[in-house]
Amino acid sequence: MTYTYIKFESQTQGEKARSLLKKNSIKSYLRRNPNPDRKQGCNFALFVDGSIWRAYEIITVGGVKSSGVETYRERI
Amino acid sequence: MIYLDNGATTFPKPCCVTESVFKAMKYSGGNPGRGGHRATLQAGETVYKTREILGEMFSCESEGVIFTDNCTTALNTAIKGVCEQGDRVITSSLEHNSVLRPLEKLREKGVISFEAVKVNPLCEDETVESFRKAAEKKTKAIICTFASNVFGTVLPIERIGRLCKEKGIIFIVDGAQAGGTLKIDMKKMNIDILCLPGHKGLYGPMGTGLMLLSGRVMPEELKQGGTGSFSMEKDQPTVIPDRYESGTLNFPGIAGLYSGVKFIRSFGGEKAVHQKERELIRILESDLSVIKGVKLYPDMKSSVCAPILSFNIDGMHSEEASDILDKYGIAVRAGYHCARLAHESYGTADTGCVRVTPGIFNGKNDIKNFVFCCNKIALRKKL
Repeated sequence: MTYTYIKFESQTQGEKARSLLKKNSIKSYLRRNPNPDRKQGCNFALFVDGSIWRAYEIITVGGVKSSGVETYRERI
Repeated sequence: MIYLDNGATTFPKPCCVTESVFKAMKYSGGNPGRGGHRATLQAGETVYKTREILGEMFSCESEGVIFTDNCTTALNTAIKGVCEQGDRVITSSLEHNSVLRPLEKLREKGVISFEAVKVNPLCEDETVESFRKAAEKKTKAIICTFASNVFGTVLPIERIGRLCKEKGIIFIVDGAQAGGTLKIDMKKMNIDILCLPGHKGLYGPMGTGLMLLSGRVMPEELKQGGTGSFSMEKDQPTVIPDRYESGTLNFPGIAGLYSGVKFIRSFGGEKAVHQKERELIRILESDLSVIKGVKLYPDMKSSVCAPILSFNIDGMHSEEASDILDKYGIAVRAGYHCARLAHESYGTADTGCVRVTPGIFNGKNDIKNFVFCCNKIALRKKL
């Protein structure tokens, strides 16, 4: 299965985005990024129930720092 | 026991606080920010909710809320992280040792010089003028308390903040006796760094402290280590709060702190807390003032004052009075309260003083019983 998510450098930023989306009635959940950048190491992925681009727009306009939108294909 | 030492730590803690600590240890004990499983993510969510509620309370961004183990650690990080070789800083004559000792250490090492400005508890204009005069020389930071931990004197923080903004000076505030009791608005008061304990006016558990950043100033971090983020990078992350939170957080403490803040909100916020505690202080002041041989050290003429009242009984060291009160089941704090300059300013350096700090859970009867005991002690009569 293929997933699209918004990537965050820290859990705090991910939770901040989640809180902002909740205020806009958009459900989301935060996980450890299953496909982290090997140079950087651990980071977080926000999965959105609905349009990822709409969510991305809301959090960007809301001033939450993210590392962009990524796609990941699950192996198992 | 009649507990009147809420200035040291609030007691008892509300039931919702003890329950949250218990639940955090029993049911959701993952290490926040340290993994991908449900327990850790759930813990991380609680930690974030706590940042959010504190950010709202003190007017700063949620990521600017840094958890420390106490207010002293927060102040050490702020002071040592901001001061550089050759800097000059200003502080006040009412500071706690958690401000004075780090400053003294930096002075001893030849890093900084500092001046302690005299606070006039009865004249705000004079205090502001003293700060203004001291700030005529090139100054890196003003570091001062929001309210004296011995006498309750509230400094004109908003006006000092304005002065800092005018002159481009960093403003660091020790809010130990004010957080949760007096309204602190970092934006309105132009505070760059606010340091707080979680276990006093915020009703959280001991072992919780806060350094709140406005975002305008980023002090150097005092420790480096694992943050659960940027793990493959050799350097400490620069993003906040990760930069200042190396090592495992006190998650049960933070969960309790969250409930403590919610409890204050449900009580009616800082205004309601202050109103209740000040009313008890007013009764206390009025009843103690008629006892012969009792000398009070209040600043009742100032419009806003933290709910603290200090006193002495003639011919008796404050520790002796406190010891007798303890025998009657009354808990107060005597001695010097880690505030050398404050006692020198008020002329209590010889005997210290007895400090009474009521909390949300005290009632008028507690105060009446306390005054009854003080009366007996002043008359040197056995109860």
